[in-house]
Amino acid sequence: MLEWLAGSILLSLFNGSIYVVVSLGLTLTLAVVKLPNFAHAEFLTIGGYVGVIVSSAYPDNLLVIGAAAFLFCAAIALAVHRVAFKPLMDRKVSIYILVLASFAVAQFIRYGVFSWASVAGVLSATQNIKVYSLATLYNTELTNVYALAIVLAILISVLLELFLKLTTMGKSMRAIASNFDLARISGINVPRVVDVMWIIAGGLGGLGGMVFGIYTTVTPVLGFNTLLDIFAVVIIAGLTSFTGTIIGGYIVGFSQNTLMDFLHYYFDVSFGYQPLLPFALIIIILLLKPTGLAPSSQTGLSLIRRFARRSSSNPKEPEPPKE
Amino acid sequence: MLEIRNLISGYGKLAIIQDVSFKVDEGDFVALVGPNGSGKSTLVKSILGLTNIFEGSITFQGTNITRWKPEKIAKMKLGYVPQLANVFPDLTVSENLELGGVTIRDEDQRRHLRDRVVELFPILKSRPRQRAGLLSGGERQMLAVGRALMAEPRLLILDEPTAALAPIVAEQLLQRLVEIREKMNVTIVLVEQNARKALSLANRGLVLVQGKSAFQGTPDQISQDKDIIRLFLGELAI
Repeated sequence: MLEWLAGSILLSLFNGSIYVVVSLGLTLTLAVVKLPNFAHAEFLTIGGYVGVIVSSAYPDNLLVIGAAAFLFCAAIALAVHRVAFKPLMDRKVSIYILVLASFAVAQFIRYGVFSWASVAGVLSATQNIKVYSLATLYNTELTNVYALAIVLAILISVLLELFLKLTTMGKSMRAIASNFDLARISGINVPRVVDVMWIIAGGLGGLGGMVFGIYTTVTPVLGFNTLLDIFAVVIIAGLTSFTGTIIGGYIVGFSQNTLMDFLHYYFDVSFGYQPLLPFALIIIILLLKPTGLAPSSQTGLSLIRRFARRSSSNPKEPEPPKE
Repeated sequence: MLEIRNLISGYGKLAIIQDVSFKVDEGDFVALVGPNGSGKSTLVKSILGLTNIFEGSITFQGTNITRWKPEKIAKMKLGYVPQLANVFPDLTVSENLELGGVTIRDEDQRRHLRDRVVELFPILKSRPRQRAGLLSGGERQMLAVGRALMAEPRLLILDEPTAALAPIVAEQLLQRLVEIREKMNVTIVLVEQNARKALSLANRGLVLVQGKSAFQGTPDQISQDKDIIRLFLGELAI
């Protein structure tokens, strides 16, 4: 039992970590510009292919390959914003139009990648990065890719938290997420902050895709195949909560692997039901807590403070006094 | 300081403000009063670049700011406290103040402004880490005014800051506005439902009715206009 459990937990942690890295970018987009960007998963595909190309010139150089994936996808995301989304947002179109535009952008990128990959002969490609075992636990190998994904998810979560809490740019992003019009009349340079947001969102998508591409074969539908999982993560997170996204990423990762394995070995449930599990969980979580796992835009530090306050002698956060 | 000429503005294609002209001089305390739906909030939003301007011009400190974007207007030392949603609820008190002063580059100047703001509203000093969304109505209005003052405005426009506040809290807030004008040399335009109170603090008043300027002058002049009192302000005794 411990063999399958250890392997399953490790795979859950790996998948969850990829979901965290990619979904944090989507959460940022949802929080700051209120756009459920269906083109976000395409950054994952592009990141995977950047990994294929750059790793052929710099094999095993994770820093160079990762930086290239981040920067290239950041540039694509910024270009998509400037060319497609910003002109529409400037015209104050409805959210429905923006969502449709994001579908169109996703299709455009996907078929662009398809055309290029077909010509380049890389419709199915692998990255030139060596996968090796770091340790063995209950016959389960902890590979460098698993470790990379887990460390990257922790590092990015911490860095994003510090960025949002401690820098003026990060606070400005939270301010725009909190009250867009007030941010504008307060003199916050909204276009610049939104540009930076797209750079981070696209870059994280690309980085996640690059790491995922080490583990799996890179194809033009790499991102598209994970689109619903990424949205499952942000829906569980309540759409705009960064802490919720981290928790949601691991919930989806564990439900697809450890929970599936458990159901299979103990209740003889077919693995064919694996894609359904995250969505069954979404329904259960949203029925129990319709706003998702965490209040909007709350970041980890504020939640830690709340837990600390609850465990102290004064258990309740003060309610706003009535005038 | 601020001059509005023949302004026609509104939302979408709908013109709400109809040919309004008025001037605010340096050091003025202007009360902008009128019945519900008269266009008071739309007029101040037009100054701040938050509506569509169809005709007319807005000049602030000699610069034509008509149709400027709000971000650009904010850098002109023109502060604004909206009626609703006037703080960043998910950010702390301290972060709200910090972002209020985002246009001030000099760190010392920002610190100095912050000291003056918390001196004016001591409650803000006592809970810097409190989320703004958890403050009481009065505290939130104080934070909203403090946030606007952090940009060191020459002109501060407040849109019904006492709405939904208890009378004693509203009185305290209005007294602070008088202090702000006197001690910080900030010109004030106050949009207020309580016309009697607003005109008692102001040196000039503008009565807006159905998007048009119905009367302009000193509070004494307004109080002597029987039509204005009877139709729009009720029994006014200043």
